[in-house]
Amino acid sequence: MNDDDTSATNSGDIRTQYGQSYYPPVPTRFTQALRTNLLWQFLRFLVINARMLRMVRKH
Amino acid sequence: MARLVILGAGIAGHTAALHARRKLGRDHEVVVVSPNSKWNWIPSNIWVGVGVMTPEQVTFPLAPVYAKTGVTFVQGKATCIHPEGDAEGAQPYVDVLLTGPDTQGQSQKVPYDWLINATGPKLNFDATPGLGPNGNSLSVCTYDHADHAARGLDEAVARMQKGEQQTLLIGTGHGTCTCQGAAFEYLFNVEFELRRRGVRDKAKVIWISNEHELGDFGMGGMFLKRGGYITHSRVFTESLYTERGVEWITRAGVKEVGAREVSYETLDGEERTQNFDFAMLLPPFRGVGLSALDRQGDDITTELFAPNGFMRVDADYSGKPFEAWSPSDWPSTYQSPKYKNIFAVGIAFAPPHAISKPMVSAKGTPISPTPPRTGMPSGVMARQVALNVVDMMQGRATEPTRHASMARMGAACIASAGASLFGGTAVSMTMFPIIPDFEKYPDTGRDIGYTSGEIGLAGHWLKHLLHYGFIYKAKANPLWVVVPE
Repeated sequence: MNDDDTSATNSGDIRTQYGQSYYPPVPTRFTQALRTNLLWQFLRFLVINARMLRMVRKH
Repeated sequence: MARLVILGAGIAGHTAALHARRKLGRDHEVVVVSPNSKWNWIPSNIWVGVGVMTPEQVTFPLAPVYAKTGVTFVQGKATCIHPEGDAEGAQPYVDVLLTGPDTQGQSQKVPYDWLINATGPKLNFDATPGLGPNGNSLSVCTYDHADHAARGLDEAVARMQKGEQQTLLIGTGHGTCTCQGAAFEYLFNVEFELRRRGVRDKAKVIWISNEHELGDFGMGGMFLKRGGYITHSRVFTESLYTERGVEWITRAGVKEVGAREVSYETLDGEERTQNFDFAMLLPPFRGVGLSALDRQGDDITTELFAPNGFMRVDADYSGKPFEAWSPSDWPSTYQSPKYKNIFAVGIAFAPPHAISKPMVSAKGTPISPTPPRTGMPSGVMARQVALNVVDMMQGRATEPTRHASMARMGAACIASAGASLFGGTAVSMTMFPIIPDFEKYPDTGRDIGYTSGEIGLAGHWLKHLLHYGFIYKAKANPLWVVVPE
């Protein structure tokens, strides 16, 4: 891991943040839950399909 | 009657064969030459590599499909192209070393009028001492390799179940590797399996890559519109690694794979080592080693092929510096500039340059990804080239009329991050164009309206559907042609 890229969460010690210059965003529990929520993911399935078909049509 | 010969039966070669056969009347012949008897849906090899699919689920025999569709199948490995024929006649042909169970070791001349080279890559494990299934690391590049990797993973899990701590190292095994996306998928499928099998706390999972930053994927990364911001893919990729507790080593060129340790050089020239108990490291690619002779028998390999063994096509190979790269450098018809009846598609064509900025270490070692050209782009360019060749064979055109430049083409990609019907996830990405165009999109290189990425269960469902959809299409089942490449 690049020394200057170590995330606080990854290192397990939030106090190391004072020694860092960059922090990756970490998803909240709500965001993580949405990733496997059946209703929401069914909607996303439709959206992703539409997006990909639009891409296919573009070429 | 004219004869089209296609070298290779992977995603590009098989797609070209099916489209050509569909369009050509029976007065023309389509011949496929491939050393493999089976077709392999390579994107699902990562699921074989973690034991959630078997090799049989990602392959099927080619011969029955070609018998059904009227394609002549020659099981063998092309070794030499004679584009001008030889002293005996001007008919172009290819030397083929047969690999079928009854013909092993025999050679055959396969004459052609039109040739599509879709041979894919040679998996160049020899580039790094100790790399590969015959050395000290595993691979998921073929279904056999992936099956072997699954057994290696089972053994590592068994040791963890006994209470041992294990270090799992996954990524690229050389400074010039491509296909980081496949290694990325394997990384997160392994991490998911470790959690599913209840041993995640016993595992240290480490990514090692020649990318300059996470999220580069050999595509120079990409910018995405998300949450009101335009953000680089590095941010989302680092977020996922952090969330899943995966450590990462980037800007690394692996130089040797020992029994339990890799040696690698970083871009700043430092020599470092990383120990492991389980390692899946992808090899670099090069051309399959085809040679070419002219009618007098003189070697013209360097006129048809670039030094890396990939075939020269209608690209700009002048070796411009990074700052002078242009989308127009990339080929659009994939026609050989020397022989107009020869084409190369998929991984077999020589890209004019990388997509990610080339980097060289302080010691002069190249450490940066070479360009990926697999999956959707391979299928699209194979279809367009096949249809161009069909037009010329049938006299409707004298030169290629359809174009399939990666600089004018988008791509959709689903990268699995864990296989489970209700708990799995995958990253769904679209981008347009594949080759960044900083003339048209000066800030981001790509059209933000067509470039997207998100992770979730929906992506896993889609990848699973694509698995069955593409195998259905490749078997040339009814209405296969409506499934897009």
